[in-house]
Amino acid sequence: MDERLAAIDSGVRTLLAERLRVDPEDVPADDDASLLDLGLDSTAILSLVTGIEDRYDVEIPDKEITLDNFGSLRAICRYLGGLVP
Amino acid sequence: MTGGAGVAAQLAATVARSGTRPALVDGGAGRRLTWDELAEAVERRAAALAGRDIGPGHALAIVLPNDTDFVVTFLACQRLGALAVPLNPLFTVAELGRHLAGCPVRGIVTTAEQAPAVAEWAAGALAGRGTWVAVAAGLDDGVTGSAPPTPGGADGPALYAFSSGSTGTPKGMVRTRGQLAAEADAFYDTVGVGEGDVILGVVALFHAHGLGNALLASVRSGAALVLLPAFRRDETLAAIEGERVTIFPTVPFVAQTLAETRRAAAADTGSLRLCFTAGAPLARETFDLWGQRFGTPLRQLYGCSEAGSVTINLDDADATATSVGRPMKGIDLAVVHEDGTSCAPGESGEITFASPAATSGYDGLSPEANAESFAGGWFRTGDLGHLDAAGNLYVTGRSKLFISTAGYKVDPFEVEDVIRRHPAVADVVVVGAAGSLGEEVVKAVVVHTDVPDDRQLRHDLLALCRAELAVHKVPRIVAFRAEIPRSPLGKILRKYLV
Repeated sequence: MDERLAAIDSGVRTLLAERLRVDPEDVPADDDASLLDLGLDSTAILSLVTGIEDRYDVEIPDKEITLDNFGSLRAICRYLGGLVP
Repeated sequence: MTGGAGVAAQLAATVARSGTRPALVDGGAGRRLTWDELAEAVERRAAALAGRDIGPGHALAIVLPNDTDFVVTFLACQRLGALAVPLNPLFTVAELGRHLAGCPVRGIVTTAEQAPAVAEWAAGALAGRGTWVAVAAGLDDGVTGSAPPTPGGADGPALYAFSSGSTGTPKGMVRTRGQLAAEADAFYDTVGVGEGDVILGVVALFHAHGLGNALLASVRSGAALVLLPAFRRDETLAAIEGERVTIFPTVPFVAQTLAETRRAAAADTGSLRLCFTAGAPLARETFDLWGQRFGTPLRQLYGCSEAGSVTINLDDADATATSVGRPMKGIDLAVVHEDGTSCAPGESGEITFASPAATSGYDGLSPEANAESFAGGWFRTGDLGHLDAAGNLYVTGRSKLFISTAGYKVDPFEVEDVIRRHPAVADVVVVGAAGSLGEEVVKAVVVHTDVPDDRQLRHDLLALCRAELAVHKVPRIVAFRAEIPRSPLGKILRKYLV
C-alpha cells in the first residue's frame, strides 16, 4: 500500500473508533475483513460516510454507498483513493 | 366510502372535502394518488381482505415498508373495523414469531421478497391456525364486489401496537378506533396542519412516530403524504425540494446526518415549516447544526406506542431547544414523585399523562399487573423528566432500560436472551453506550467460558444476533470481561459497563 492509501486507511480507522465507537483493537488488521462483521449496519455506514466527507472534504453520492465501496477497509481506501487528491 | 368510527370516518371526511387533491406520493414506486383514488384503492383492498375472511375485530399483520400498500392495507383494516398489526419489515422470522405469539393474526400481508420466508415460517410455527400469507401487490387481483359496512362505535379494536418489555418479550396492546381518531385530532388541533401541507414520511409507518405523525396526520387533515421506503440523503433532499414538503417528522440520527451533509445547503428546503424529532433525545449539537443548515428550527415531539404523540415543542425560541414542549390538546401531563404527588417546576420525577388516545392496558396482563402502569386513567411512562415554570417538559432519562438507537428502541433483555444461547457465553449484559452523535449504540458485555479466540467468538455472536434480530438490535460493540460488576445485593452495575 502506498503512503497516501496508508494515510487514508489510518484515518478511516480513527473514524471507526471516534465516530462509531468501534474499539480499534476490534478492527481487523486484515483490510479485506467485512465491516458488517464489526456489527456495522447501513445507518452506521452512512454515519461513517458523513464523517469521511467532513474529514476529506469530498462529496459521496448516496448511490455510491454500496458494499462494493464501503464493505471493507480496502474497499473504502480504493474508493477514496479515487476521490482524495 | 362508508364512514363508521375512527380513522375510517376521518378518511371519509377528507375524501369528501379534498377528493381531487393529492393524497399520496409513493417515492419508491413513483406513484401518485389523489384522495379519491386512494379511497378507491382502500375500498378494493377492503373487499379483497373481506374475501379472505378479515372482518370486524380480526387481526391482520402488515409487514411492509413505507409504500402505497402499507397505507392502503392499514386504511382497509380501518374501513373493515379489523385490527391492523404493523410490524417492522426488517424483522427476522424469529422476531415475527415473538411479536405474534400473543396476537393470533388471520393473515399476514408482506412483500414479494419476504413472502416465501414468512410463508415457510408460518407453515411451521403457526400450523393449524389457518393463517394465510399474501403478497400485498397481488391482493386485489380479480376482486369484485364491495366490502361490508364499517362497524359503528369507537370502542372496537383498530391497532395492535408493541412496546419493548422488561422480560425480552415485546408487550402488545390494543388501541381502539376512538383512540386512534383522538390521536389524529390532537395532532391536527395542536399543530394546525391543513390540506395545503405536505408531510414527508421517511420514518417508518409501522412505528408509532410514523403512523401517528405522518399517516394519521395526513388522513385527518388532507395534507399530502410523501413516502420514502428508506432514508437516503439525496432522495430525502430531492423529495423536500421537489414536493415542497412543509412538515418533516424525523429522528435525531436522520436530522444529524442531513445537517452534516454539506450539499444539503444547495437544496431548496425553504418550504419546510415544521421539523421535529422523536424516538430519542435530540442533542443540542444537532439542534444547532440543523438551524444553521436549514434555517427552520428542529423541534422535539414526545410520544410512545401506548398513546402516540403526547407533547410537541412549537416554540420559536432557542431557549427551549432541549424541551419536548407542552402537552397536545386534550392531554393532561404531570411529573410525579414515587408516591404519586406532583413535582414542583424544575424537580425531577416520573412522567405520567392522561390521554384520550392511550390504550387501556397491555394485552395478556392481569388487571393487577396493568395497574402498575395504568392507574386511574393515567399512564406511567417510566421516563424521567421535569417541567419548567412555563410548563415545558424536559425528558432527562428513563427508568426503563431501553436503548435508543437510530430511531428505534431496543430492549436489552431481548438481545441478552439471544446471546446467552451461545454455549461459550457464561454471562451477558447489554447496555446502551454513548455514541458520538448523542445517540446510543448497543453494547454487549460478555463473560465467556474461557475460549481461546475472542475474535472468533465475537464473530459467532454477531452472526447469531444477525440471524435472530433485526439489524438495529445487533450490538455495535462486543466487549469481553472476566466478570459482570454487581452490587452487594446482586444488582448489575450498568454504569461501569458503558
